[in-house]
Amino acid sequence: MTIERTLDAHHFTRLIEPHLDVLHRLARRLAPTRADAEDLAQEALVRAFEKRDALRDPGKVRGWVLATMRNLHLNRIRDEKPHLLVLTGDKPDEAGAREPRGDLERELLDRHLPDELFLAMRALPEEQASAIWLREVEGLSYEELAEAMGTPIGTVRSRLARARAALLEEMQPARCRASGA
Amino acid sequence: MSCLNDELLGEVIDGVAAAATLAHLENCDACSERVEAMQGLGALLRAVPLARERAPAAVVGTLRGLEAGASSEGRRRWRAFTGFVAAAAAAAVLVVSPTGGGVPVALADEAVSHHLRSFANGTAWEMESTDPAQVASWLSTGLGQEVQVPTRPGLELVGARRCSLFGERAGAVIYRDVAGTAVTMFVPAPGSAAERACERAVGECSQARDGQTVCVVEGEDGSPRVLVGELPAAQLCQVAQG
Repeated sequence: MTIERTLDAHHFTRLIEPHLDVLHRLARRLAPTRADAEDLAQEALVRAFEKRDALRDPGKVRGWVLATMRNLHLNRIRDEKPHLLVLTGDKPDEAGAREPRGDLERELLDRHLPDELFLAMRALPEEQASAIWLREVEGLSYEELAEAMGTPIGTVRSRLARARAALLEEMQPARCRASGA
Repeated sequence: MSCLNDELLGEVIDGVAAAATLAHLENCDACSERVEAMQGLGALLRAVPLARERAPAAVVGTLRGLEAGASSEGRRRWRAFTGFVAAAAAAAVLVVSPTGGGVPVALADEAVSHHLRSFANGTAWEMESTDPAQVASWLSTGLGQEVQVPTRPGLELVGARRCSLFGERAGAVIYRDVAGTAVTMFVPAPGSAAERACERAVGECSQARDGQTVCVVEGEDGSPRVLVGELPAAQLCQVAQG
């Protein structure tokens, strides 16, 4: 019995290659150290390569490979600290109990941000921080974000809104209280 | 007039706002200011040094290694570059076992994955030596158990590393054949799940996808060994059995 691959290795690498920088930067945001980020990105590439047959739409490769890496990261955290971390939940109070990240390198990197924004980014749940990063810095569309985060587009919208609101809360006093559209 | 919620205002930033939202902004200074503030956040985030970082060579190299390992042309380049094989054609193993025997799929999958990933990640061996006694000593010390490192006709010893199979410690001895093709011999820990998985597979060889073959043989000390390599099954079986 054999299973034919639908995506050969050369085609796969050509698809992935333009997105290596995005993959690396998200790994840097997710992993505590540069070495861990490198390991995470490499492992994600191997995983993606192994399951490349599952990529049905090459146009979605960026979100797909980012999702592969993010899931790998979350699984690692779950395996390492099963009782200490809450991995899902959009409400800050649901995901707020986060492990401190004692990585000096990462801290220095983030210190280039204004202090208020730095503190606000640190306080965001991972799913909100990743969403705002991938949207604002990497320019992912809502559809790509949904693919990368493994959530419906509606959840992507709400995560972005919560992330922006939380960041603004730290950056300036709210001048406009939403009351619905 | 009520202000719009942040989801709708965010859609303005993201370029997907409805006409009604844009019309609202024309007449609401508060919402317009909040949109401007949101835009400022984005600009701040994009100004972080990390936003300009490029993927390091190791990450780029992993992708190159995966590609090289999956094509014969690329594989030749990889060999030429490293002086060794990186049979990094990572893929889930598919065991051909028409009679229901052969190497258990889970064991074969685990062994092939570790074999391929170690070369893709450049971590195939921690210590390099062609001396079986030296490799055995290093591995025995590292694993806390006596490990014998055999010599096999047609295989040249390269080195060893510590690794894991099914999350439990194991050793890996790396060989290459005369053509430079890598063969990993895994040494499962006594009592481990990998060793138990080997129990009914000693003497079996299974053909895997992308040319990978997995064989389970009995080691010199009577405990099982798992060999993986991108060799024809008959060839790997032959060298596995010495």
